[in-house]
Amino acid sequence: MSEAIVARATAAGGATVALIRVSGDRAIEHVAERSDGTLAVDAPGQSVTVGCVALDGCTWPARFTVFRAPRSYTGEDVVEIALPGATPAVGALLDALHAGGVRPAAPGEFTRRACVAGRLDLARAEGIQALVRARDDAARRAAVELTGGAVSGRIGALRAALIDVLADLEASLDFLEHEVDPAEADDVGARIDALRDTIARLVRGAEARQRVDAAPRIVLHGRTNAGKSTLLNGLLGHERAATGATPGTTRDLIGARVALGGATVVVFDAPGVGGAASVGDRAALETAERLRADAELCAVVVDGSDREPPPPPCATPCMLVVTKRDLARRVPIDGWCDAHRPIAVVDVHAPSGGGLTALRDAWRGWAVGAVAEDPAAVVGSVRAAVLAADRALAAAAETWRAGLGAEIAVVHLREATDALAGLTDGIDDEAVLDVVFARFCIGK
Amino acid sequence: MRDFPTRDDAYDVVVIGGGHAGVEAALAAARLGARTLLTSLSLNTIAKMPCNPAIGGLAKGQLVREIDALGGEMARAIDATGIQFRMLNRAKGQAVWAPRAQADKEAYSLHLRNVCLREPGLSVIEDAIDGLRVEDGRVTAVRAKGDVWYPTRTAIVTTGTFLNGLIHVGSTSYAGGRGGEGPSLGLSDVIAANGLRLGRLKTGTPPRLAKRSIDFDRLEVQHGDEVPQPFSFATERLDVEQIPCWLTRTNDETMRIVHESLPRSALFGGTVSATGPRYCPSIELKAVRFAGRTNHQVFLELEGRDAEELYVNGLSTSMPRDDQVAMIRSIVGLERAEIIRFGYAVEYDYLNPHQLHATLETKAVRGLYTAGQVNGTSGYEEAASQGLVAGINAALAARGDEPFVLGRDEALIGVLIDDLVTRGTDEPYRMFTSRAEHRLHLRHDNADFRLVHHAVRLGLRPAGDLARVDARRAAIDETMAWLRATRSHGDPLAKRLARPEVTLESVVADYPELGPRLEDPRVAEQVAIEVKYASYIERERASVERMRRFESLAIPAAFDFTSVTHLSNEGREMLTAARPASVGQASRVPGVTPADISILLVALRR
Repeated sequence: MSEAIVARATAAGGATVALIRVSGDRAIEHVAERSDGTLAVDAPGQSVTVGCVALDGCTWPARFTVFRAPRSYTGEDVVEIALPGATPAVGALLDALHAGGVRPAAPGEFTRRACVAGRLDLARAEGIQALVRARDDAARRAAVELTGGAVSGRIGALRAALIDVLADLEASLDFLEHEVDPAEADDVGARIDALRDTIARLVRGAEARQRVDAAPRIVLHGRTNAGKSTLLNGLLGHERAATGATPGTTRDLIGARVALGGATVVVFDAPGVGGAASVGDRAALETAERLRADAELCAVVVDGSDREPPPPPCATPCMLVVTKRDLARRVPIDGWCDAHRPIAVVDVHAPSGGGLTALRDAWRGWAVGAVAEDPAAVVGSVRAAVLAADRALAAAAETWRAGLGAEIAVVHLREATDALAGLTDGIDDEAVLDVVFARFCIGK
Repeated sequence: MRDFPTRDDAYDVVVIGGGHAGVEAALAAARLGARTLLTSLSLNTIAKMPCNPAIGGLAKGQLVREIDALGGEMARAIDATGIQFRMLNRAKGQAVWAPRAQADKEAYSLHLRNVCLREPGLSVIEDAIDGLRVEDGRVTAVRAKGDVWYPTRTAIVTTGTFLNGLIHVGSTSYAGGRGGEGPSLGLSDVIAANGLRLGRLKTGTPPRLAKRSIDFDRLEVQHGDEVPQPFSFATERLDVEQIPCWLTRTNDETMRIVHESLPRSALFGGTVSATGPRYCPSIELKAVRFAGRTNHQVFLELEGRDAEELYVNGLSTSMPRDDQVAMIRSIVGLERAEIIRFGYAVEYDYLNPHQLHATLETKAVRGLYTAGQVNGTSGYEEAASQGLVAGINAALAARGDEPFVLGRDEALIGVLIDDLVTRGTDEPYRMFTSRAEHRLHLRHDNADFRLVHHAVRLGLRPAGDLARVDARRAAIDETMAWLRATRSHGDPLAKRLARPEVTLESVVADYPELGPRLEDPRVAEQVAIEVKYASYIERERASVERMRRFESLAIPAAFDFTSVTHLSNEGREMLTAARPASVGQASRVPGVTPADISILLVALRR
């Protein structure tokens, strides 16, 4: 058992109950010392003791849950202490334990110990990481799938298909033509392409997942006074952005998280294009330019009475939002839609909330769409393995098409299978484990 | 190098069985200076070829050249007695070529018998071995019929298919190790009594036909290579008048007969319950497996230069006699064929080789080695490879020296033995190049570069051989360096030569310095291959390095896998049975998942 560590397991802030977790050598003794005799040093595993902690002359009620090695999260002795939250008790207990020789845990250290104890493989550990970071239902569902081993299943299926192609090529080398049907040239190339498509879909799902986790960015783009800020305020339900009848009101970049029930996006309201730029505004304008380039979706906002929508600022996917629908919509949009292929067109009347539901639906569909196609996320080290396999497959396809023979293609395909089998450089490296677990919050 | 202990009454090595494994084992042990005895049920059947009268083939040809590089005898024997030589896979890349030759069966056998009878330090005796003495877990003597004892430090069992052999033709069965020969009885019981588990395997062989009864006009002729390539690195050139073989095909009628006969076939009718070879299937198995195909190729091979007997390659069978006649007569060219020996299946005891160390010594009994078909392999070349390694190791053990183990990255023989002892086998194991993760490196053409140093160190080949190999290697390396340094239109010549359509010959004309470097045909051959495959051999090597890290993570001999609580159930069971010595070996054990490997890595680090 390693040295004892401690951390707060629940988020800091106004929780009714705070949970502190201690794991490692003599964990139970350390906690028992602080328990004013209420926790027995020989408390059995899986037991709950109601008692208290004595700190600086005060006693606080506490509930101790004891887990004994190996039947605990980390595989070591673990004590979870539930205390009244939002009180000095939590901080005081942590200080007391630190003073008694229990080290503050590093980020992700508890889960790292679980992994080392063999209670979790890497993919499952990363699933827990994703679970912890999940801010919305979709991410949580995907994360739960990850811990359930769905990813291993997908990788397994990919590997089986890859081994099929490999087997046919090997057979063509190890058997004479009359003993076995030779692998058709077209067939092999097509099968390798199909494998790469599967990987591309897996990875797209992962990228979409990461996007959702990081909250994809939508930038509102349009001419001054098109109604962008009003739109944003309407979505947020309060006056987050400054609006006004004078064109050029928005000078600063405002980004707001908008919850879409299943996904979260960050919407940026940028200064309208086409307005006169003063020296002070130029910096803001430059930032806006960069943002327009970096956003994942550009929502082009156009006044319904305007002459025509402005062109989207860059090659990002775009959509069209036509504002002020209380006024007759006269703006011609067909030509623009043909040219720029928006993913959706929505009419809104922000002050009354008209059309905002449709807009939210469109945004959610876009944010979650790629993920819904492939709910099992492939993250972290597993993703690296899958991408390594893809690189090898690309090389195999290239050499096969160049007529270099089965014995060469086989070298690349074997690299691909090694990658998928986890026998790549680094999956077992300490360094990788460090990086993986450092991404966890403290206390997990 | 130590000396053998002098004890007049005991042998250092006794080899039980004079087949392809036994011969290599006996010769290697004797050449290492061990006092060696070779026993055989009959002197006349030493190195007999009971099935295909041929040596080599895909993957097997590579094994033969490795045996030669290590100082074994098989390659020289086939060079001396071969009657047709062909390089296979010529249409594919050079890295996957493999030599094969048809042998004059009797000449081959006689050649090796005489080599054994002339080998100093090797005694040969015709005797039936039916027992072993094991004291304190170690072999101390071998018993022949009539209670005759041969005291020995080590014993190598190379009994092939003879242990409790049972022959089947249709529904007729009788005891026998091979057609016309009795079985070996008693030895199985002794082996089993010492904690070793035996299983049952079967293998089949085709009928033989009388040459005079064949309509050769109706058959397609196939000749050997114009310039036959020798198997042995010591053979400069083959001066041989080659014999053709003939090709015909089965047809709808043939397969109909086979299908109808299935219930009566020993292999399918239920008489034989043991597992047969997947890759050398009987015609019955082909009928069932490839039900849509009726035109299977059939090769007719003369069994000797002046022989009157033809071996029918592709028609291994154990159908009843009448059905065999009907089947043969349905084939074009064979309408009037006379069968002089019927095809049959033989069922025999074998020792699952995961009960062996990588030296081929059994884990249960010290000093007891097993090699060849008795370990569950099929093929003369697989047998000879094991025999060579077992013979070397028995001799080394008898004098207390370190054992000899070939790595998977240095020889196909290494792959063979590692596969056998790590995974075991439950069907007749045949060598394939796809079993080797370093296929491009383990070629037939470079076996001497890879292995001669071992042979010289062990004393199986003279030091001069190593000097010659080293000199060639240096010449090849220099030429490769020159090709990489010399530029042609801005690119190194080596890069230009890597393209599939550019040959070395085409370049020689433009570069006068190149010609003299390539005067030695072996150097020219290796340069031509390396220039095409260099980058891929590098990739394989990188794979090797990666693998080596896993190989170097040793698992202690007494490691208790049941103490690693989170292994998968199947993984734990298979690892406990296989007792792999490294994480790399463990990753190849069937049933072990990558997750198991991660958990094992973590467990070992603690």
